[in-house]
Amino acid sequence: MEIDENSRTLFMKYALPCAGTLVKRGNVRQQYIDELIECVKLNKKIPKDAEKMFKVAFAACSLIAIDSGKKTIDESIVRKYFLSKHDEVIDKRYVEMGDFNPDMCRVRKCIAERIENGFAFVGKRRFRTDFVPYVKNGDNVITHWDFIVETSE
Amino acid sequence: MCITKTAKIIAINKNKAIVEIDGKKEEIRIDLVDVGVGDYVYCASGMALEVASDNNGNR
Repeated sequence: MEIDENSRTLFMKYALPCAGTLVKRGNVRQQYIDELIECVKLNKKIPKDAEKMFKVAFAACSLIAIDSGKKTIDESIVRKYFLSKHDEVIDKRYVEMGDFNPDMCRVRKCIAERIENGFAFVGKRRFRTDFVPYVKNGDNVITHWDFIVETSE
Repeated sequence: MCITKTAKIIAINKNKAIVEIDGKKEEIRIDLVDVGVGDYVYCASGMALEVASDNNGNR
């Protein structure tokens, strides 16, 4: 299964926030993750197959695409996985691996209560806004780890 | 450190398989791999991710 070229950036916005777990496991270097974050932030071309390092998320998106009768992963599949299935998968992964904080890894819909010095705050939690430099106070947002992934309606 | 467990395919029913992982039986999706009974796969969260050459541990 492949991902639409136009959907790769969205996949990376949702997946990169939990790359710290892969770094901790020694699967990938932090420098490479930082480079990918810059690619997404600056809307530069993402290196070929970079999304496939997220083996579980990519496989789960592939299965949703198959079940939806699609030949490739598109943005609707990416959102369906991360907004509807991801937390269930994460709970299973926590049982299998036990090496990350599943509560931090939840994908949540919330409201950006204030923006300060390039960070968005929701309650006491502070989030990076690399992927949403346009975010404003009161915007509905999707969070994953310490990132705002995107704004939502 | 491992990111996936190695599982042995015990039985197949369409796109699902019963596998043995760490001595326990579990049902997983096998849509993404081309496997038969007796083969080994790397799996995670109820999905077979890749075919494994043999039961050579987790990765």
